[in-house]
This record gives sequence, structure tokens and C-alpha cells, in this order.
Amino acid sequence: MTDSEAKLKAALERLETSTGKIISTRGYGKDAKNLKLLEEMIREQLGHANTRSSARTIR
Amino acid sequence: MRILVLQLARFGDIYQTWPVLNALKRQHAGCEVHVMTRARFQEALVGLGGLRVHTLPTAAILRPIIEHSDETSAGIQLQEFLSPLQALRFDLIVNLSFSPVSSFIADILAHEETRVQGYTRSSDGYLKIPDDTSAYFYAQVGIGKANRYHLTDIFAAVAEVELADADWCGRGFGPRQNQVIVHLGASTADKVYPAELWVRALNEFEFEGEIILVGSANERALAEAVMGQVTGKKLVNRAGGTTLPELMDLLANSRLLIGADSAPVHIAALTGTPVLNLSSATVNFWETGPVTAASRVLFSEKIERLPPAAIAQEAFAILHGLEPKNPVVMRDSRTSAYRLHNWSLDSFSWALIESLYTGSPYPELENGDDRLAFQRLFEVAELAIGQLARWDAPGARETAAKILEQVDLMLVEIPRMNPRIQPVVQWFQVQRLRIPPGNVEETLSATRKAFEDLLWVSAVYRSFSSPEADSQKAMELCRRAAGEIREWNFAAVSEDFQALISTLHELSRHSTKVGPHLARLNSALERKDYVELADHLDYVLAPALETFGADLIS
Repeated sequence: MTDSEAKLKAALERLETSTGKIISTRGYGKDAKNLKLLEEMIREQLGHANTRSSARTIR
Repeated sequence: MRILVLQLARFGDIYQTWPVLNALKRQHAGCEVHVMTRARFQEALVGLGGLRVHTLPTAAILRPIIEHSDETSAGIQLQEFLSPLQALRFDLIVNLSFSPVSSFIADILAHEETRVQGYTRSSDGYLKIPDDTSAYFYAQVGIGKANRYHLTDIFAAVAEVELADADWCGRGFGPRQNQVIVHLGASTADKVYPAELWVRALNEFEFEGEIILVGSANERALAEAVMGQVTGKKLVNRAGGTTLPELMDLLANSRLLIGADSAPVHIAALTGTPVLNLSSATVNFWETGPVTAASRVLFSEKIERLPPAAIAQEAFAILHGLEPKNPVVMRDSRTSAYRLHNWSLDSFSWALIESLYTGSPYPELENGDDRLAFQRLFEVAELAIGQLARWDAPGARETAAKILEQVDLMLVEIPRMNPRIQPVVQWFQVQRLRIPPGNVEETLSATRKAFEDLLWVSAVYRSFSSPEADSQKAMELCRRAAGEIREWNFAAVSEDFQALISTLHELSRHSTKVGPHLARLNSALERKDYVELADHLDYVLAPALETFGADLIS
């Protein structure tokens, strides 16, 4: 795993924790939406692809 | 009116989106069309006028994380990108990306009155699929699935536009030269035809005009390797030497493109250039194959198994309007479907899809395995409906939940055993996935409705035999299976045994006496106790079944 990937993975874990707390206390609002989007942008990078084809399976 | 189209996929997908963007502009005269794409792929929009392009700055947003482990700054960067777009208050968002990222972007950019077509998010953050076409995409589109609708048509349906001929043309083009474009590479290694086979194909290709090799800078070495070994042809190497708009010009002036499933094939659709497409199992030509009239697809499970001679022959045949010499897929016009020439494909799964989504008659079953799979689906649906009905009964919920968990596992297992019926399970799963957030009663009711739909579809293939006939059939299966099982030869009668279990399930609908036999058989099978299994079939179940008919009815 490269240094960048390690940092992204660590950031993803922190974000998942933060998002979980926000959703459980404030629900799925503006902050949670942005954090979820950021999480997904990171996941795309960890998949070693900036994008996938249209036929990508969604999480 | 202000429309945003999300297209965050790659070059090929963007070119396949061109006709839809043109149609949106045409159908919503005077509207403002915005497109969001990724910086890396935005070149594919050059030449398409009348758009406002927004590029998702992924690198800039993630840089603070990569350089300083600072997700707060990343969040600020993201918000700075999103805020001006939110301020535009789009009336319609068309998400053609089908990805998690795009679904969150669609959700964030939508305001109360925005209509969203394509993936977005529900009020609780779960995936929301508002339109039937995107639900179809989720269920049926992708490698290994049976879809036969072209991606551009799917995009058009999501955007709710009717494509016209004019939508396929980005700009004007000059007359065609006597030249053929060859794209040697592809976006992924498993789609690339080997260099030595290209050499043979090009050496055998009877063509006196110019053959122009194109591709990315990464494909230059491949092009050079091929150039050095092809003799007697006017070859020009432009791999790595053209921008995408220049490639579009080249294609517009050429008589034919030869290449694998990659961006040039989709550009050729916009320039009206016929294509000889080299296809394999790693792509689905039904979804992303060429659409220009006179195009052909040569298919092999593995691309390296395509004979070079077939490529040379079909390229020659397209140029001279000759009948194919090889098994090919043909395209007669942009609007017609693909036509198989000297080639046949199993169409059962596709026919199922058509039945589920268009209401056409369900296909005839071709074998006992299919019937058994549908029988199992019927039983699973029936079981689930029964458990859902017990949900509110005192003390029943825990058991019902466990059984419903098993139902979910069976819904994974059944199409794994028989992939031909996968479209039905996929369709059902997406129906369930589309159940919106709600209270327990609403969710239960919607879930029950989904299982009832599955039950009805499975019931199409259910054989309606009488309990007496089922008893007789089960007895015969018992006798047949027992002998082989006693000899530890279960494999020889596994189909009979499956049929027996299925028949017993059917009988259990009429009598509670059957359940314990099923449990005993399953238990013996799990323990691989074939002696007990055979004994039970021979000495307990078969005799019981002899008198079962009368007992059952009483």
C-alpha cells in the first residue's frame, strides 16, 4: 500500500466514524451528505480507479 | 429551465452521452444544459457546443488528505465546489453515472423542486432509484448479465428523450477518404488484441488505401511493433499523436474503423463511420457495441481467439458491401437491433427480461433445471409471505426474522445454481431495494407486495399437478434414488433427489405430515449419512407415499 493510499484509508476510517456519529445524532442532513460524498470519493481512489464504467455496481 | 447531466464515467460513456445531450437541448428548447464530468475525461466533450461543463476536481479535493491527513480542508474544498452548483437550483438532474459518488452529488444538488432521474439518495441516505430505467440498469445491465439494450438507448430513457438522427452528429464533416482507421489497443489489457495477430490480420487485409493506426500515447509502442512487421500496406502510425477531436475528424473522413470496445467505437457512432468491432466476454457488445449502419461485431470468449483471417475478411466485406464470411453480429441501422449471422446465442434470460419489463409472453422452459429453479423461487416467495404475515403475532417475530434471513440466502443461492433465471431474482431484489423509507407497517406491506410479485412471476412456470399425482411421482423418485444412494452414488441421482425435495415441498402445502420427512432427509443429507437417507426413502417415505394420496386429501 502506498503512503497516499494509507492516508486515504485512515481518513476514510475517521470519516466513517464521524459520519456515523452525525447521522445518529442529527440524521442524514447536509453535513452527513457531504461526508458521505467525501467517503465515496475516497473509496473510488482505493479501488485503484478514478472511475469505473457505467456498469459499476453501486454500494 | 436548467438541466444538469452527471456523466462521471470514462471517454466512451461520455461519447455515448452526446446524442442524449443533443436531444435534451432539442426537446427543451431554450433550456440551459450543464454537464458534470471528471477533469481527466472532459476532452470527450470538446466539439459539443451549447453546454456548460463543470469538472469534478477530485485531485484538489483529496489533496489535503493525501498531503496532510486533513479531511476538514478536503470537506471545505468539496463544499466550495458544490456551493455554486447548488445556487444554480437545477430544475432537472439526469444522473447517467450509476455510481455512489454521482448518487450523493445528485442528492446534494437537488432542491425541493428538482426532479432527479437516475440514482440519488433517500431521506435516510440509502440509495434511491426514482425511475424505472435506472432500476432496470441496476438489475440487468453489466458484464455477465443478459441485457441487450444499448447503453445510449438506456441513457436516453433515463433522460426521457427520444433520439433523432440529428442528435448523433456533433458537427459537420468532409467527404470520406479511402482510408481505414485501426485502433490496436483498448482501455484494459483484457480487451487488447495481441500484436502478432494484428500483424497477420493487417497483412491479410486486402486494401490499397491508407491504414491509420490510432491510440493513446501508451499504445504507441504496440503500434510501432505492428508497423514494423506489416508489409505491402500504406500504414501510418498516429498512435499518441491525435487528440480526441482530431480522432473524430479522422474517423469522419474514413471508410471504416477496426478496433475493440473502446472510445473510438463510440466516436464512430457520432461520425457515421462503420465499425468492425473485436469483442469478447469482458465486454457486452449489446450494450456498448457499434451502432453505425453496416457495422459488424466479431466475437470470441477470449479476444486472442479471434482469427486474424476473419478480421481481414470482414473488413474487406464491409468496405465492399459483401455478405459476411464468418459468424458475426450485424447492425443494419442506428435504430435497428443487432442481428446474428451464422451464430446463435442462448436467449432465454433475455426473453425473461423482456417479459418482466415489457410484458411480452414468458419464454418456454427449456429444461428441468429451469423448472426446478422457478419452483424454488415460488417456494421461497411463499415462505417469505407466510413469515411476513406472522410478523406481528406474539412471540413469532424472532423466528420469522431468522427464516427471512434464510430466504435472503436462498435468493442468492438459487440464481447461483441456475444463472439463467438471474434476471428474475435481480428484478425482485431491485423492487425491494426501491422500497422507500417508511414506518414498519409501510415497509412490511411493500416487502410483502414485492414477494407477492415474485410469487406471481414464479407461478408462471409452476406445474399444477394434483396431490395424488405428486405422491405417485415422489414415490417413483424415492425408489429410483434410494438404490443409487445406498451404493454411495448420490451424484448419479442428485437431479432426481432435487426433484423429489421439490415435489415434497409441493405436497407439504397439502399436509403437515410431509414436513418431518423433509427434515429427516435434509438432516441425513447434511451429515452425509447415505445409509440413513436410503433407508428413509426406501422403507419409510416410499411406503408412506403409497397411501399418501388418500391420506393427504383426508
